[in-house]
Formats: sequence, structure tokens, C-alpha cells
Amino acid sequence: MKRTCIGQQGEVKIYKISEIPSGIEVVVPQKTKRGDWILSHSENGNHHIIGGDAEVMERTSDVPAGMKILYAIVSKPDEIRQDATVPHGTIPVGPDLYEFRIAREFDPFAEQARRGAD
Amino acid sequence: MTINKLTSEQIAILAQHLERWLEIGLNTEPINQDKAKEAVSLVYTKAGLPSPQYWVFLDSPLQGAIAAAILQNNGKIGAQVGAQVGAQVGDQVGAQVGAQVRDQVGAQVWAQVGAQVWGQVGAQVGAQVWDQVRDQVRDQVWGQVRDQVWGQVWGQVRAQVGAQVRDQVRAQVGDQVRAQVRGQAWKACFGSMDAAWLSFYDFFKCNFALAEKAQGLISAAHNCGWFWCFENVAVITDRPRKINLNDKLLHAENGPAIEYRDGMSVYAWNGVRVPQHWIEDKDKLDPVEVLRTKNVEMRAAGCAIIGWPKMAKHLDRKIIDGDPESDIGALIELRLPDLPEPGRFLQAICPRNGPICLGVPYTSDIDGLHINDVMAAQAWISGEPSSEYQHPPIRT
Repeated sequence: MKRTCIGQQGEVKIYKISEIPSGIEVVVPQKTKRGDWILSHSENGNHHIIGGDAEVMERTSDVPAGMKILYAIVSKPDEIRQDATVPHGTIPVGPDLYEFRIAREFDPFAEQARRGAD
Repeated sequence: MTINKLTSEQIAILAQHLERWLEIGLNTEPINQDKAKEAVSLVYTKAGLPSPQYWVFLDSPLQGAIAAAILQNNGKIGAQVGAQVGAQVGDQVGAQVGAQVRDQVGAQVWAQVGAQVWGQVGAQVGAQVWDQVRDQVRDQVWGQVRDQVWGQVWGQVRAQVGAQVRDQVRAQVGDQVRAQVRGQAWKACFGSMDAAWLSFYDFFKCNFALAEKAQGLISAAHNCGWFWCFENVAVITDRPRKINLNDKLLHAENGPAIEYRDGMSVYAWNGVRVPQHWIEDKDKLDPVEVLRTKNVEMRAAGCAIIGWPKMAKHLDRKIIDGDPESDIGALIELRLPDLPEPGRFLQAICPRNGPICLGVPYTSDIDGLHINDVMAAQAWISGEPSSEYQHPPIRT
């Protein structure tokens, strides 16, 4: 599979991919009340989102500890946005296949990886 | 007839309309109880309900949520959650209260008004007012002030009500009470802090005689802080006495960013809510406490409050590879009390949050290699082998 990183919005790293991996387990992620897909959830409500027209799935098998990986089939131009008063800048995405990797971090006190949360 | 275009006069009014609603949303004057009663009575009338006979006036949303929980339980938990609020609610009021009518005065009115406005206003005109007024008011009044007050009520109930309850009743009952009070944060009408939605509907009410049903909530926004509606009883709280914004973000370096007249306070640093002692005792703030904070934005705020030069000195920072003042960043080591060896971190500049600091392990679980340079640290954070790491061409 060919992967090209096209940008990063906060903790969301965005790759254009040639195919969605086969044989993986996925679930349907959450949507906002307005119908956008939540790529990265925020306690403060400052979610990173993509429009509801895309087809989005969250990978649940073979995901490194503390990480979140999602895939999207984008069929019309859209953008990755953050719902916040002063948001991270939007990143446009054209029709294509995408992978989103939500950053993780290591807690040296607990000695374990966890998702980077805001 | 669908409204498909605004006149030049109507477009010119948008800026004034925005200004007026920002003033309403950020108003810190004490409420006038007579005008507040009149406004909330109109809320009931517009929802087709009789006006309340009993009124409870309190100083803050926290007191309001406690009072609403007492009323929800017909006064049964008054003694447990604070004599002051219990006394103001009173046995007589508690005995008279009926069901909570939040849905009737809120959600149902919103739905009817929304259907009417969007049914008669073309999408382009709707989007124009939405973008130029509603979104701007929302960013500051809802996104900053209301959200942070809501978060404070939610969090403070755990700390304050929880502690009071624990002293008096069994833990199980305490949990129930806490849940009831916290639940009331969802059931409030937000008065002045509903300015975002109401600015939108008020534009169409003033200029096109639409959204008449929202008039009660519009009056309440002019005259009340948060309020709770029950059959026969309404609880109305005051506006904050202080709201401090740094441009559009809640921010105060030497005191609360939002303060109510009963002392309920919200402390914030560039839009991020932080604990009181981080601001009030910032000279004594422990860098380790900041680094232990799980929320990345809050940790970045804590680092900014302390300042990275002091953090670096206090924790004996050692730069292993890279430049901490860049977006790629640096792999650093910090000496942390209680840990046998220094903790490793990626320190970098985030375009939005400023300096950030993320922990990394000594060895990657992806490729089994030691993390000895900044690219290996970046690769571990995105769950990739360092041989395949691609640094993003744009970062926002």
C-alpha cells in the first residue's frame, strides 16, 4: 500500500493511501450532533471532524497501544476541521482514500501509552 | 415567500446586530429581578404554559443547579447539598414544585422557531446571517464563556457537592445527589449565554417578523443568567460579575477569568480552563504536577504559566536531539521525582497551542529500536517504524 502524508491538524496526522487494508476489523465512529464524523474526540468539545458525506471507519484490530486509526472514503471535496473558538487551521481533502492517525503519548508515571487528549 | 436576498440596509445592520448580541452575551451587570421575572414569564407564555407562582433567585449557575436538583427531588436533598441554597429554595417552594419543563420551554420552542425560519429563509441568506452573526457570537459567548462555566459547574459539583455530601450521607447516596446536581447542568436554559442561537433568530424576528416564539428566550437573554423551569417554580441565576477575554479567548493571568457574585470562579489561560491554584499560586506551581496532567492543552497551558525556561531549569532538561523551538521539535530528557531514570519527551511548537510536551518511551513497540532521536520520537507518537516516518508537509 502506498501512503503519503499530506498534513497534520493538531494530533490528527493525515495520509492519502492507495487502498484500505484488507482483513482488518472496523467499527463506525461517533458523529457530532450536526452529522460530522468525529476523527479525534475532545473533552472540551473541540473535536477534529470531517463532513458526514464521507464514509469513515475506525480500525480496531492491530492498532498500536494508545493509538486510534481511522480510514475514510471521500467522494467529494471536503476538509478536516476543528470545532473550536480558535481552531487548528482546516486541511482540505479531495476525493480519495485517507488514513488518519491520532497521536499517542507515553505516560512515564504509569509506564503506558495513551491517546493524546485535549 | 422565500427570502433569498438581504437588502443593503439589512446587511449593514448585521455588524450592529453582532455587536449588540456580543454585549448581551458578555454582560456582567447584576440582573434586575423584576425584569428577569417578566422575561421568564414570557418564556412560559410562549411555550403555552402558565407563569410560575414561585421564584428562586440565586447568584451563580452552581447554586442554580443545586437548587434545581433540590426542586427535582421535592426538597428532599436540601440539607445534604448546602443549607444556603436549601434555605432560599424553602420548604414552601419545594412543596409546590411540579415537573421540570425544560423541553417545553427550550427544545420544543427551538424546533418550532428553527423550522419556521429555515422554511422561509433561503439557504444563502440563512448561511450569511449564521456566519456573520451567530458563529461569531457563538465562538466567544458559547464556545468560551458558556462552555467553561458549564465545565466548572460539572467539575465543581464533584469537588464541592461531593465533599459536602460525603460528610453527611453514605457514599451511594452521595453519588446519586452528585449525579442529580450535575444532571441539572444539562437542563438549564442559559439566558445571556444562549446569545449565539438567539442572535440568529432575533435577526429574522426584527427584520422579517419571523421567530416570534423565541421572544421569551430573547428577553431572558437580555435579563437573566442561567435559569431552570419547573411547573409553578422558576430558578433564575445572576450573570457573572466578571468575564475576562484575551481577544476571543477566556484568559486572566492574576485571578479568575469568570467570577460570579457568590465567588464561583473559572480560571482560564488562553481559553483553557485550569485549576485555581495554577493561577492564584503560580509562583509555587510544581512543574511535575503540570507534566502529570493528562489533557494536552491543559499541560501546554501549565507549561506556559510556569514558562519553559523555569520548567527546563527545574527539571534539569537535557536536549538529546533536535530543536524544541521547531515544529519537528526535540527529544528531551527531564528529571522527574519518583522516577528512577529521566523521562523522555518530545518538545515541539504546535501552531495552535504553542510549546507542547509529549512523553515517549525509551524503546519503540513498533520496530523494537531505541528512541534516540527526534524522528524516532515523532514516529513512535504516530505509531510507525522510524524507517517509514513521514513528517507532515503542513501542520496546523
